[in-house]
Amino acid sequence: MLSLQHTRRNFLRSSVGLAGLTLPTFFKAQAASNTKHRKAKACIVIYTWGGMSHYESFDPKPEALVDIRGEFKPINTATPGIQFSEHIPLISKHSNKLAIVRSVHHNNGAHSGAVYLNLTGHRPEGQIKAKGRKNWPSITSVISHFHRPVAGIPNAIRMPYSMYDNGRQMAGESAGWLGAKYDPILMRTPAGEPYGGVSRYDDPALNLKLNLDKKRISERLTLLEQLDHSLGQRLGASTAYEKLDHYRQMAADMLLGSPVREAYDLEKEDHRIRDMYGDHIGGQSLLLARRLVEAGVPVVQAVCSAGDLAGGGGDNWDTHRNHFPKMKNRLLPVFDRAVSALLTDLEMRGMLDETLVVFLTDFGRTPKINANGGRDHHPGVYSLAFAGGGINGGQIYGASDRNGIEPASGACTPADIHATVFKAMGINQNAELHDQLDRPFRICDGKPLPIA
Amino acid sequence: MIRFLLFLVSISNLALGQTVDQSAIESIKKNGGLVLPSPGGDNQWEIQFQLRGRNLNDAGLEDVAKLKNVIELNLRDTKITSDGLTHLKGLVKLTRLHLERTAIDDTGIAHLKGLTKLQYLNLYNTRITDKALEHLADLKNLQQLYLWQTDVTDLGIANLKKKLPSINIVKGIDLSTVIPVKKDEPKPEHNLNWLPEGGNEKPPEKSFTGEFTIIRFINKRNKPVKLFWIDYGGKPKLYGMINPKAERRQNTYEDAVWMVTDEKEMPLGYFVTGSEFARAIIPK
Repeated sequence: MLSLQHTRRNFLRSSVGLAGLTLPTFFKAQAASNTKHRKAKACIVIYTWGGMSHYESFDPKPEALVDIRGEFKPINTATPGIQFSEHIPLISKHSNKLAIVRSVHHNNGAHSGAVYLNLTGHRPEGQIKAKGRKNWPSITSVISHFHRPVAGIPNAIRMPYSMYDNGRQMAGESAGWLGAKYDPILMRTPAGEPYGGVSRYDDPALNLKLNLDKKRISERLTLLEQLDHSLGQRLGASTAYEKLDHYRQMAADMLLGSPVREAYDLEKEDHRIRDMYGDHIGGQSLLLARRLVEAGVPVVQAVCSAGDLAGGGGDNWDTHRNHFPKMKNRLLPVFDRAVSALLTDLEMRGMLDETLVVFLTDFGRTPKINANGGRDHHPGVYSLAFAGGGINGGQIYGASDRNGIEPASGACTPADIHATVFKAMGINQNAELHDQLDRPFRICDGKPLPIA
Repeated sequence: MIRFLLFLVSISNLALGQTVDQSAIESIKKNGGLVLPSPGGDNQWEIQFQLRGRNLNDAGLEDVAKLKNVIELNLRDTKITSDGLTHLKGLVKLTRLHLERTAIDDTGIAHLKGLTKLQYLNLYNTRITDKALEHLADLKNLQQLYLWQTDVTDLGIANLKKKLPSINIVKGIDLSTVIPVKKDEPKPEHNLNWLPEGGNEKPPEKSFTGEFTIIRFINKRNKPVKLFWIDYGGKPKLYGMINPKAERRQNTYEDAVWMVTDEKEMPLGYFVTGSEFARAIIPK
């Protein structure tokens, strides 16, 4: 029985602490795992929404027949023996930092299921809804549960918008049963040329005005504290109240001079650094990701394409039509510049060995090029990548077969990718977390890939 | 008996040590520092000032010095100077030290000579020169050294590498070499046909969906025009106004129908988009 003297917030904290791993056990677990590699403290998830072709990125197939290998040629990277596709020349120079996985596969050919699988590491069961509290939590939410930020810093941030498929918001980006407190905060990247196509900004969280004057905010906060006091006594720690509390707290913290507020202001960045990332919302999002990690945000997710697939129109990786020109002219140049800038920047600031960068996507693309010059959905095999903390760069894990149709060696699943992320971040992938009804769930069913 | 007394003494020492630690930790926290237990040992600390403790000055480092078992220390963006680093001399267990973006210079680095466990040292965006590197030559465990935005030269780096062959030194890129991306927005090369209201060629009744494209409307009239998209059900949807002689860049899809009207919304004519970027010139 909890004493009534406990503040509501303490109650929340202790209940969460009892349900999950407490901090001391976490450190014990970390100390016990006898690895020579340093674990990452922060994570940047780069999501290529729509399904990035493995052929035209990390797994070119020059030996395949022309109707499979496509129009692009392979290029050498900085690592002898590793080749990428030719339109990511800048990323190729960072191959020594990258661990590429060429043998991921699953069996869900729909965007909704695939994005859920890749972001949660679990199969969708039944009808999944974008804001469903029965969903598995996003990888960003789980990471932020274990890597708590200091007071006043949001648990997790995602940008620049939510993922939609023809107007339907995708499930998998939120905290699901872990509770609203762990929902990543959605932020709109404040600069850069937008991706062509449709992007939806209808989430109320995006309407946060970051330039409200401080005096008014602190007055309002005093009011809210009084409200907090009376409401807290009446409602206790109900889920709805927790949610209100979380957003209010987050908004207030950001407004009141948190390092995050400063990080959000890209005008404060050296303009040459901004140029390095590219004056595009893709580049500026990754720049913002670095600034947020620097400000103490433990995990940031950046979607690198237009927010709504809109039937394959616009700048997204769902390239059912005109695959090659779209990849070459619109998608890969932004991706190449932004990602290589991020890796350069993290390295020269001494942040790379404590920051895990993980690349996720829905699935690969079909071997055969269709009548519209496109490639369709192909979950049979695709490529993902890691860089930074807890990862050994300059390596390829697994392989697809000669034609890039299925894994030839090292077959692995999104769950294994998640286990790898957890291991690199010093999180025990067998840990149990409890949902809002206190039922235990093991966070991950996969096995970490031996790439650290 | 003596053993027992010694036991008592050691207990009181331990207790005293912990009190010292506790009060030092309190002071560090008061200065905005974050004190975390460092994994892998009891009473070992990781201390961070870079988030909420940026006002830390040299005097504040005295509290840090009282904690002997500091394994990691982050002083990024704080107000410390070279003089303050003298307080770090006793922190011989330090493995990671962040001094980037502070006012330190070569004289401060001399105080780090005895920190032989140091594996990671971050000095980017400080005023250090090759002289500072000479002070690091005996840090045999140093594996990572960050020197971006300093006055260190390639020669200085080469000299340090002779002493510490396995060290990884990151000098970063010269920002003056960054070339901004040329905005090679596809030039609209052909013009869409203008289908005047009441003319022979009629536009389709509604838009169809297709590949993404961009068109540039150019208003050659001396009066403003209004721009409507004819949606998939055949209904006009207002997109905006284009002033006389002005242009408007419009994201759209191929096989879309765009209607141009005067200010009173009387139709003047139509454009039907194709797959390529194009100009849509509204005639006088």
